[in-house]
Order: sequence, then structure tokens, then C-alpha cells
Amino acid sequence: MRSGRSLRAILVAAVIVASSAPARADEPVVANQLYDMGGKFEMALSPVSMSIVDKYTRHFGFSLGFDYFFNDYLGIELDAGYNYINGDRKLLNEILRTAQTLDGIHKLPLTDLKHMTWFTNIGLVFSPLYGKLDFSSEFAVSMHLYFVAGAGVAQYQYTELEDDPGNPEFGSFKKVTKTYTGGLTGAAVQPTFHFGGGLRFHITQGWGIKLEIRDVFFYDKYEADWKPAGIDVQQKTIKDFVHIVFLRLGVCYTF
Amino acid sequence: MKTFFLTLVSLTLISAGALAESPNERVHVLQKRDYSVKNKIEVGGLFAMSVDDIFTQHYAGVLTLDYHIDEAFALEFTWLSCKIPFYMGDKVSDDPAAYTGGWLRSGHSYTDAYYNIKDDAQLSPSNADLAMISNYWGLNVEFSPIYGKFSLFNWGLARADFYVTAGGGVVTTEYMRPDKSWVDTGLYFMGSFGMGFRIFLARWFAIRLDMRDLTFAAKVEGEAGATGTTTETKIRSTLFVMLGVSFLFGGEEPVQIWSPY
Repeated sequence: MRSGRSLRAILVAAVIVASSAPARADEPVVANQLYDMGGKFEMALSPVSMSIVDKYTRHFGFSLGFDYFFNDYLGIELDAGYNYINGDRKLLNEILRTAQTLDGIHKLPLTDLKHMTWFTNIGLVFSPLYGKLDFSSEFAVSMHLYFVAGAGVAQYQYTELEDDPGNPEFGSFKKVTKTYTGGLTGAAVQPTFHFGGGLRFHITQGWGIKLEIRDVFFYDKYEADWKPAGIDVQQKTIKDFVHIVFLRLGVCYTF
Repeated sequence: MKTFFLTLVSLTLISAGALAESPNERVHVLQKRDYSVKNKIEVGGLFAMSVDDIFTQHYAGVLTLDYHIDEAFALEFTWLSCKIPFYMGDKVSDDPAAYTGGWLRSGHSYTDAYYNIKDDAQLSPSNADLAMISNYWGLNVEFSPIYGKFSLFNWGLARADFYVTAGGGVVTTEYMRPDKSWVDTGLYFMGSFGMGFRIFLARWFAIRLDMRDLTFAAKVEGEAGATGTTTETKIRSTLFVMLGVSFLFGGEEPVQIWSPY
């Protein structure tokens, strides 16, 4: 009888210990998901926003975002930003400085010359992956990987060449910045599309850090100058999608 | 008395379980590290392509050989090849510096931006901007401070190692002249840094995704002047994205330590 009672007590203890073990078939595969975005709002500030893999332009700026998550996987975002530095890369200036064939050319027949000043857009946030990272076996950080896609509007600028004999930098011309008015609308504000992805690192229940790459693009169509025979300047229509890829680092607050 | 003893044992077991679930547990913060790399040798084969060059495009095969000193540090030998090493093709007559290209340079090409600026705008990038990496042999230190677990839609669990690398080695570069002849610019030092992760599919097999930035001093022919051709040097940086697989040999079985995470 006593041995039966002992067996029961051990069984009870074993059941209690076993019930505290995390691995059960019907539980999440990553045990203890500490951060769930479902039904929450998020505000994000990215003070570091810079363009990467550029051809002829460069950008530095900041952005603000406001998101709502329907569940842990899907949300909607409003996003806006301003590039306080936007212009041509040094590489383009080097090429223009050594060029011998620019007489009569005012609008360069090149794609990807447009640089963005400001933008605002709306999009969907798709967050299929939740994970935990172990930093040197010292502390654990939970994270979400997410993808974004959507549309919006933005303003672009570009540089034209104007005759300026004796210009100290380029010799016979100078660069003048103009607001771009071509594209789909012919207006100063262009429709844009974007896609990208990023990581949200959860530091506390409210605060996190976001690292994101986002490609913003628009349809570029404008009349450029070119010299097919090397002498007479003619008009040529340049059509292309101009992509600007931004790398953003910022903080976010979830509530 | 015996009942009291059994109750005490039961309470001890329960409290042990409760203590072990403390969120303040800081020894091996992720439970069950199933994939250990300590003392393992890793052989990897990857496909690489450059992603940030404006005028040049590289496609390369990459061979990596890693020795993992412990879970966090490894030494890696890397061979990145866009072209058969030390073979230049057929020499252009009357020009000892130039060779004709061919199938052996299938990893070298120019982008649309190059043809756009050359043909449409009739502008010329400098030769230094046209130099391309042919072969790189380097030694890197790999630091892997992050180990992670991920669930995709809560369907399954993936485990990954994140790492950063830094190192250097020697590189051969070449560039194509406007007359389509190729010029070998020699062998010189190149620095490398990058980051990546390996997703473990088995204890001996992983998928690797790497980003490596290779920085070199492109030393090429400049403008022809009155006193002959000048030499032009420019620091170039090329970012490669690499995807491939690796096989791990030797090493130890992972130690499984419980943690609440």
C-alpha cells in the first residue's frame, strides 16, 4: 500500500515536471513566442535612410511610418520620408568632367539620373517568419522578418547642363537642378511603387529596432538630347523604370 | 514520515521546473543548440554575382574551406573565380599587353549602363571603373556571435548561424579596351569583409548565403599623353552576393542545455 502511494506520488511529480516541458506537438514550433503583432499599432522612425547600389545618384534622409497589424502575419503601413541630401554621385561628375562630346547636350540621354526629394506611400506588410537569436549565448532577441509592397507618390529632381564657358569644375557648362515633370503624369509629383523587406528586433514589449531594404521605383519618360552621328543634336525619348534602393535603420514603438 | 518525504520530493521537482523556466536564465539563452560547429571542417561551394557595380557584372564560382576553432570563430580560405586563372587567351599581335577574350571570360560582362553611357551618351567611364576581378585567393577570420531559430508561419523550425568575416588576399584583375582586347592588370592585394548565414538542414549539411565586399586598387592605363600612356589608380569596391551549400566534417556532438527561450 505504501509502495503504491509512493508510486502515485512519483507519477504525480513526473506528470507535473513533464507538463512544464515546452515541446508539444500542438504548440508553436518556436516555444514561447514573446512578441505577437496581431491587433497592434506601430510607429517607426528611421533617422538613417540612405540609398544603396546607386548608379548615378545618392540619397540621405529620414522616414516615418505608421503600421497596423491585423494579425501576426499581415498589416498595413503608411510611410513618408524626406531626403535632405539628394543629388548626383561623384562618379557622374568625373565622367562629365572628362567628356569631350557634350557640346549642345543639355539633357543627358541616360537613365537613372532622377533623384528623389520626398515620398509618401501606403502598402501591405507581410510577416511570415518569427525567430529568436542567441547573441554569444548571453542574451536572446526575438525578431520578425517582414516584406512590404505598395504604392505612393514622390517628387524627383535631375540635373541639366547649361552653357557656362569657363566654369571652374566642368569647363564649358554647369549643372542646374530641375524638378522632374515627365513620367506617367507629366506632373511634378510622380506615382511610385515599392517593395522590400526587413527585420524587426524586439528589445522590449514596446520598443524595437528595424533594419530594412526598400526599392522605390517609378516610370521615367523624358526627352533627352543625343548626337547619333557625333555632330547634330537630336531629341531622343528615354523610357525606363528608375529604381532607388534604400537601406533604413530605425526604432519602432508598438502599442 | 514517508508521505512527508515524498511530498517534499514532489515539491522539489516542481520548484526545480519552475526555477528552470525563469526568464532570467542566462546560460545558453536558446534551448537545445542542436547544431554545433566546434572543431568541424566545412567545405562549401557557392555561386556568386556582383550586385553594386555600375558598369561591370561578375559571375563567379566560389570554393570555401573553413576550420571552426570553436562555436564563434573560424578561419576560412576562399577562392573566388570569374575566369580560368592565369590563362589570358590569344595574344593580340603587336600589343604585348592585350589578349582576345572568349569563353574563358564567361564570368565577365558589362552592364546595360555601360552600353548606355558609351553608345547613347557617347561618354566614357575611366578604365579603372571597367576593371574586373578574375580570381581572388584570400584568408578570412569568421566571427559567428549569433545563433537563431526561426519558424515560418509556425510550420517548422529552422536553425541558422549568422557570421561576419574580414580578411584579405591576392587578386588578379583585367579590363577590356574599347577595341575589345583584354588587358591583365596584374596580381595585387585585396581586402575583404562581409556577412552571411548558414541554415542547417542536417548536422553535416547547410545552405549558405553570403555578402562579401571586395576592395581593391584598380591600376590601369590612363589617358595617352605627350609623354606616353599614364597609369591610373582608383580604389574599387565590389559587393558579391553568394548562395551555395556546405558540408561539415568531424567536430563534436552538440551539448543540449535547457533554457526558457
